[in-house]
Amino acid sequence: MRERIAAVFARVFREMAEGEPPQLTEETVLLNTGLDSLGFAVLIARLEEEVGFDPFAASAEAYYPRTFGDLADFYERNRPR
Amino acid sequence: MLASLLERFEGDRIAVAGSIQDVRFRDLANAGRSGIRARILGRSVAVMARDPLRALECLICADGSASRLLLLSPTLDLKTARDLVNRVGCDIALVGAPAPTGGLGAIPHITIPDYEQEPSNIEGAARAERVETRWLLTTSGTTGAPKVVDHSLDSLTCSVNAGSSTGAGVRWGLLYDLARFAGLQVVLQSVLSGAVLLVPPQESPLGEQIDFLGSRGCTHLSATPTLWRKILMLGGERLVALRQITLGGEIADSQVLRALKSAFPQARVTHIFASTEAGYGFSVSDGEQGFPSSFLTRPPSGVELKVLNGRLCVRNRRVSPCYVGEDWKLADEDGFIDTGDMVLKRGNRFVFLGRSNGAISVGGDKVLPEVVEQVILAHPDVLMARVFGTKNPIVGALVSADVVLKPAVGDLPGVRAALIRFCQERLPRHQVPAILRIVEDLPNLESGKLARS
Repeated sequence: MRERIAAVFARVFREMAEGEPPQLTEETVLLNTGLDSLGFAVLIARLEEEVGFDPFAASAEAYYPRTFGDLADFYERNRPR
Repeated sequence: MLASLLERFEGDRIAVAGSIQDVRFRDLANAGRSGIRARILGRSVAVMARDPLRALECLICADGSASRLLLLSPTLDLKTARDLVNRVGCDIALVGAPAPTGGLGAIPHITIPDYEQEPSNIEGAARAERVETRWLLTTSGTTGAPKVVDHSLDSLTCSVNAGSSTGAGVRWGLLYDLARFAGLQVVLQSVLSGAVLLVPPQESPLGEQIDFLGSRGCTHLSATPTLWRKILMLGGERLVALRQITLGGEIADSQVLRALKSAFPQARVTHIFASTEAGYGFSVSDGEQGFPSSFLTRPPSGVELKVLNGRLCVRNRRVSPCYVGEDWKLADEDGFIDTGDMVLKRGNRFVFLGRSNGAISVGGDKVLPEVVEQVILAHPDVLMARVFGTKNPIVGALVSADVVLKPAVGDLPGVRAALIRFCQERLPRHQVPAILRIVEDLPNLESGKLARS
C-alpha cells in the first residue's frame, strides 16, 4: 500500500509541482514537499482511482493527514475488508 | 391562425413525410374540423401526442379556437403532466391516438384519430369563430419541476421565413421533440413555408433516423451540437442533399462548426441562440463561434441584447414576462430576461462560456464545465467531451472529464497523458481535469443536449 501511495504521489508531483518529487519518509510533512492543497486534492482523487476507495468518505471525522506516515496509516486503517 | 395559413399552399403538396404515411397540405388544413373547434372554443386546452403528426393536427385544431393551448411533451411522466394541467387550469384535453392511459386529469378528452376516418370540412373551418390563442410551452426543468412560459404564434414564428416560395424544394428533418421550443420552430418553419417536414420513426436509434432522413432527401436539419457530433461519428455522408445545418441548445464551438463545414462543404452552417423563456434570440452564419459584438447595439432580429455581470440578457417583447401559474417574474423591470449564459468579449466578438448555474467550485474558484470542454474538444483526437465536478475532501470539488475519442485513435494511456498536458498548456491549474477517463459514448437527453447529471 505504501509503495502504491508513494508512486501515485510521485506522478502527481511531476504533473502539478516544480522539480523532482522528494523521497518520502514516514515523517515527511506533505504540504512542505512543494505540493499545494490543489495538488494534494488531486493526489487523493488519483489515489481513489489507484486503490479503489476513498478513506475520507469512509472516516467519520474531518481528518487531514500531516505526514506521509499519517497518510499511509489512514489508507491502511480505512481499507474496506 | 395556423389552419388558414396552411391553406395558402396547393392542397396536393406533401406537408409531412413520415415512416408510415405522407400527409398533404389539404389534409393538414382540414385538421381544423369545425366540430372539435366548437367544443374547444375559448377554452384552455392541454395538447399531448406521441406521434408528431398527431401533435401537429392537435395544434392546427386548437390554434384560433382555444384561448390557451398548453403543449405537453409526450416524454413527460403523467404525474408531471397532470400537475402542469392543474397549474395552468386546462379544462379540456386534445390528445393524439392512442390517448395516454389514465388521461391528463378529470377533464374531458378529445382524441385526434387518423385522417382516413374523418371527412374533410373546409368550409366549416373557415366559418368558425376565431380566437387569439396563447401558446404555453414548458421548459425541460433540469432543475426542479418544469415551468410554463406564455407565447403566441407570433412570438413563435418571428424567425420563420414564411414566404410561400421559400419552401420549394426544402425538406426539413425533425430530430427534436415537437412540444419543445426547438422542435416547434422546425415544424412551424417547415409547414408555414410550404416545405416538406420529414418525421423519422420516433423510437429508432439516431443512426436509423439519419438513414431515414438521408433516404428522403433531407435538405435542412436542426440539432444540438452534441447530436451533430454523433451524426458526424455515425457518418453524415448519408445526408447527401443537406444544404442547411442549424445548431442550437448548446454552445456551438469552433471545432464542431469546422467539422460540419468540412463534412458538408455545400451546406450553410448556422447556430442559433434561443430559449423557451426568451424565445428566438439571434442566429449566426459566419462559421465562427459566439456572435459579433455589434449585435448588442444593432440586434439583427430586433430581439434586444445586453450583458450584465458577464451574463447575456434578452428582451423579447412578444413573450409574457412571467412564468404562468407563478408570481415570480422572468424579466427585470426593463423587460430583460437573464438567460444564465455567461459570455466573454474577445475582440469584436462575444463567446459563450457556459451556464452559470453549472459552475464547479474548486477551492472557491468557479470553473465552467463548457470552458474546459471547449479546450478538450480542440484536441485533434477528441470527438466529444463531458466535464463535471467530483466531490473532493480537500478542495470541495475537482474537475473531471469523460472523453470520447475519434475512431481509430489507439494508445489510450498515451492519449490520456497527452490530453492532460494539452489542458495544462491552455487552462489555469485548477481548471485542468484532475481525472480524465476515455469512454465509449456520452449519452444525451431527449432534447439532444449532453446529459450532465
